[in-house]
Amino acid sequence: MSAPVLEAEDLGVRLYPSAGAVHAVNGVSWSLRPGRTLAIVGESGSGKTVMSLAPLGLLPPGVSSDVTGSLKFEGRELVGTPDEERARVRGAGIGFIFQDPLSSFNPMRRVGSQVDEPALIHEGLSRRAARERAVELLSMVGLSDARRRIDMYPHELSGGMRQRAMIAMALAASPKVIIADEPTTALDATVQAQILELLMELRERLGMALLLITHDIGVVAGMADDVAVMYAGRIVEHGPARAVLKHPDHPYTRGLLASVPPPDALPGTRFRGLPGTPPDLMAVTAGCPFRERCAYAIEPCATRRPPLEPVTVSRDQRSACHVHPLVVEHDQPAEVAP
Amino acid sequence: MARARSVLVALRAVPKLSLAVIAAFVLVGALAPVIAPVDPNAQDLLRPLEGSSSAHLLGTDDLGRDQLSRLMQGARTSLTAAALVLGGALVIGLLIGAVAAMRGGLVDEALMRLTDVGLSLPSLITALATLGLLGPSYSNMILALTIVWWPAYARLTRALIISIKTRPYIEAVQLMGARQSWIMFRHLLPGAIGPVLVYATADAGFIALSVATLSFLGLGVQPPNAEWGQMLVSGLPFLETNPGLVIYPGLALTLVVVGFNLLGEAVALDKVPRPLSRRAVRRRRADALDALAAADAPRLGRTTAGEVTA
Amino acid sequence: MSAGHLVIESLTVKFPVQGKGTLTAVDDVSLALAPGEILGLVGESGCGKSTLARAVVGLERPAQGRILLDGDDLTQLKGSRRRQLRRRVQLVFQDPESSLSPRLTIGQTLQEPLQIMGMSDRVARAARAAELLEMVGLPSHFASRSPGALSGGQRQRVGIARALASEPDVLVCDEPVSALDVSVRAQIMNVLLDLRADLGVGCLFIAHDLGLVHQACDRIAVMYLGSIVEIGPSDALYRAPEHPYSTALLSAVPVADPDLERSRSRVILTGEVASPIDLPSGCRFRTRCPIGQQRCADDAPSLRPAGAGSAACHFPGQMRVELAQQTATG
Repeated sequence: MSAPVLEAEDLGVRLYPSAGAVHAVNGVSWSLRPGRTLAIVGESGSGKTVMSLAPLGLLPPGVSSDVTGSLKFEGRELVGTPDEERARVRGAGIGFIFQDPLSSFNPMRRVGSQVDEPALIHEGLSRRAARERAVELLSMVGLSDARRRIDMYPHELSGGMRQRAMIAMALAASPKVIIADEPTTALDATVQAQILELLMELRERLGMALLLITHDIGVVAGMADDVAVMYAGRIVEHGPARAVLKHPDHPYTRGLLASVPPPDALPGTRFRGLPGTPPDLMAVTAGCPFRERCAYAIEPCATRRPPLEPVTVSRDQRSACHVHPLVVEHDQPAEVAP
Repeated sequence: MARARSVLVALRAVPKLSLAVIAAFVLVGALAPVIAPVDPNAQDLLRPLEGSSSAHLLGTDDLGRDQLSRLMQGARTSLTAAALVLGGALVIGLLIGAVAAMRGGLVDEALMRLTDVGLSLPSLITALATLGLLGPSYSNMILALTIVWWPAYARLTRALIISIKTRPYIEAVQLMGARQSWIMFRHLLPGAIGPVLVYATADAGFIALSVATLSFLGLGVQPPNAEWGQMLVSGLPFLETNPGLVIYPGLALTLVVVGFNLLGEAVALDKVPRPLSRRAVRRRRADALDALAAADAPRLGRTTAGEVTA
Repeated sequence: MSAGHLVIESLTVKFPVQGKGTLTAVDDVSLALAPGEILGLVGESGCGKSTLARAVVGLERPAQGRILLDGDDLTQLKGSRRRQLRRRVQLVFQDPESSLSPRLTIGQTLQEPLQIMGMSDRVARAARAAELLEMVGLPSHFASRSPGALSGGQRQRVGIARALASEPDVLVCDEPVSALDVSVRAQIMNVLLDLRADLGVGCLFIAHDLGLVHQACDRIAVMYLGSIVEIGPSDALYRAPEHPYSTALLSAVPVADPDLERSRSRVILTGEVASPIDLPSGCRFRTRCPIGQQRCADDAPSLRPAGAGSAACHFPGQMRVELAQQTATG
C-alpha cells in the first residue's frame, strides 16, 4: 500500500473567541492515500471544517487558534511550521474547494486571472502560457465555452459554473490532495450531481486524493472509500464507507443515518432522528460527549471516555462506544466485506 | 513592549474617561444655580479683570463677574441648548424618516428630496441665514439649529427602518393581522432608536460647538446670559492681559466636544459600562453600522470627519 | 364544509426588473389543498416556489389569479376582514435566526399575536403562550428566554408555535428545515406531522429535499421556472415520475445506501435554466430536456392526467422508462 499523502495524528484544535476556549477538535487521527477519498462527516459544530483548515493556517483572520498533534503532507509536518513554508506546501500540493464559490472569488477580477494565478506562481509560466493553461483547466472541468467565460466576472457565472471554475482553480497547481469543504451544499440537486460526477472523474484521471468534508450522507455513499464520523470535535466512528454506512456501530452514526428518510419510507410516517442538540464545546466533560442524546447509554458512559477501537474482525471499522451496539446485536464482531 | 502595553491600557480608559468628563459637565450644568459660588451675572465694576483669588477662583471678567460661576452657568446654557436642538432634531427626524420608510412611493420620494436639500446645504451658513431672517435670539437659535440638524436623523431613521422592515420577524407580525401603527411603534421605532441615539451621542458635541459658534458671532445666546462662545468673544480683547478669559471657556468647549465624540464612538463600539446587556449593545452597534453603510447621506460624513479630528 | 380548503387559481406573480422588463416568478399556477392535507412543493432555487408561498400568505401581491380559503378570495379582501381571514393562513420561515425578534423574549413573541387579536388578559395570554410552547414540544419556562439562548431547532419550534397562535387552518412552510442540522430535521418534521394529526392543520410544504418531502407529504407538486410541471400522490410521483424534470430531480438526489447509490443511473441535465424574464417558446423545460423534440418547441404542454397524477409533458413517463433501461443495461 502506498504511503499516505495526508496524515493526521492526534490532531487537536482550540479556538479562542472573545472569552473562554472552544475545544473544536480533540485527538483526531486519520490518513489519506493517493487516489482515495476520505469523507469527514459531521453536523455544524462537529469540528470537521476547523480540523481541516486550522492546521493549514486557513482559518479566517482574527480567529486565534492553537493546534496540537500532527498533520503531515507527504511526510512533511505542517503543524507548527512557519506560515511561509506552510503556504508553499499548501500551494504546491493541496487544492481547496469551498462551499460558497462566490465568496471564494475576488468579485472585481475576471475568472481567468484567478484561475491561472496559482499556475503563474508555481510554474513560472509566461502570461500567455498561463492563460492557455487556464482555458485548458476550465475546459477540463467541463465549463463550456471556456475561452469566452475566462473573461467573465464571477457574478456573471451561475452557481454550478462558479463551482466548476473553483475546481479548476484548485487543480491549477496539479495538487496531490483536494480538500473539498461541503462542495455541493450551496447547489441544487441536479447541479450537485454534475459536480460530484466531475470530482469523481478528475480524481480517477489525475490520481489525486480527496478529503471530502460534508454533512450529506448521500454524498458520502456515492463518493467515499473511507469515512470518519465526527461528533463534538472527535471521531466517533471510522472505517470503510460501505461498512460504516451499511452496518454502523456508534449510536450517533446510527442516528445520523436514520435521520435520512429512506427511499422505501411510507408517506405520512414519523421521522426518525436524534433527540436533543449537540453539546457545548466550551465545557469539557468527562465521559462520552454523545451520552445525553444516546439511547444506548450505560453507567460508564458518564465517567469514562470510550476509546476508538475496532469493532470488526478485519479491524478496519473502529468506533468510540462502550456499548458497541453492532457487536451486541450480532453477538460477535460482524463480518464485513472490505 | 511594556511601553506599548501601557499605551494600550491608557487607551482602554478612554471610554470611561469620556463618560466621566461628560457626566461632570452635565452635573455641573444641572446644579449650576446651587453650586456656583456667586451669581454669574452679578457685576462688581470695582474689581474687573482680577486674577485668581480666594473670592474668585478663576478671576473676574471685564465687568467684574465671577469667571468660575459663569463657566458653570455656561455649561448649563450650552448643554440645555444642545439638548433642545437634539431633541427637536430627533423628533422631527424620527417622524419624517419613519413616515418615509413606511409609506414609500411618492411620499418617501418627496420627503427624501426635502432631506437631501437640507443635507446638501452647509449647516452653519443655513443657520446663519435663518437667524438673519428671524433675528438673533436664544429661541431662534434653537429653531435654526434644529432646522439644520434634523435631516441627518431622518435619513438615518429611514435607512434603519427600511432594513428592519423586511426582516422575517416583522413579516410574521404582519401576517398576524397587525396594523401598520402597531408594527411601527412596537417594532420599527424601538429597533431604530438605539442606533439613532448612538449617533446622537457623538453628535451632541457638535451641536454644543454650533451653539457656541452662533453665540460667538452674536447671533445666539445674548448677553448678559453666560455662554461659552459668548464668553470667548467678550474675553478676546483681553487675551494678552487675561488669557484665562479665553482659555477656560475654550477648554470647556473642547472637552465637551471631544468628550461626546469619544463617548459616542465608545457606545457604538460597546466599550461603555451601561445598563444594556452586551448582546443588546452588540446588536445596536451592528444596526448602526448597517444603517450607516446603507444610508447614502453625504453629510453623515460629518461625524466621521469629526471623529478623525477628535 | 370543513375548514381550511385552500384553492390557488391561476396565480401569477411578476416582478419588474430594472431595464429588462418583467420577471415572471410564478406563472399561472393552480393548486388545491384539502383540509389537513400536506402538499409538498419542490423545485430548485429560482423556480418560484418561495414566491408562491409568499403570495399565498399575502406578502407578495399577485399580478392575477385568486387565492380562495373556504370560498373567500383572500386577494380581494380589505381592512379588518382581510386581517382576520389572513390569520388563518400562516407562514413558517426558513431561517429561524431572523424570523424571531431579537428584542423580545420567546414569551413576548408568542403573546404578540394574541395581543393583536385582542386578548387583553395578561394571565390568559401567558397561559396560551405556554400551551403553544407545549404543542411544539418545548417546556413552558422557555417563555422567559431570549432567542439568542436557543438552538436553531428550538427557534424553529418557536417559529411554528407563533404561526399556530392565530389557530390557522393552513401553514405554509418555506423550507422550514433546510437551515437545520440533519439530526434535528426529523424532530421538526415530526412536530408538523403531529400538528396535522392533532389539530387538522393543512400544510403547503416547500422544500428541495425530495426524500424528506416524500415521507412527509400526501401529494407532491414539482415546480420548474414558475409553473407546476407535475403533481401527484407522493409515493407514486417518487417512484414513477412522469415528467422528465421530476425524473432528473429524483435521480440526482443521492441516497444513503452506498450499493444503491453506486449502481443506479442518473439523468445528468445539461444546459442552463432558461431566463424567467425571457421564457422560451413551447415547453419551458425543453432547453435542458434530454427527450425534447420539435413538438415541444412549437406547442406548450399543459398539465394533463399521467400515471397517478398529472404532468405537463408531451411524452410522460418516457424519461423514466429510458432511465430504467439504462440502469438495467449499465
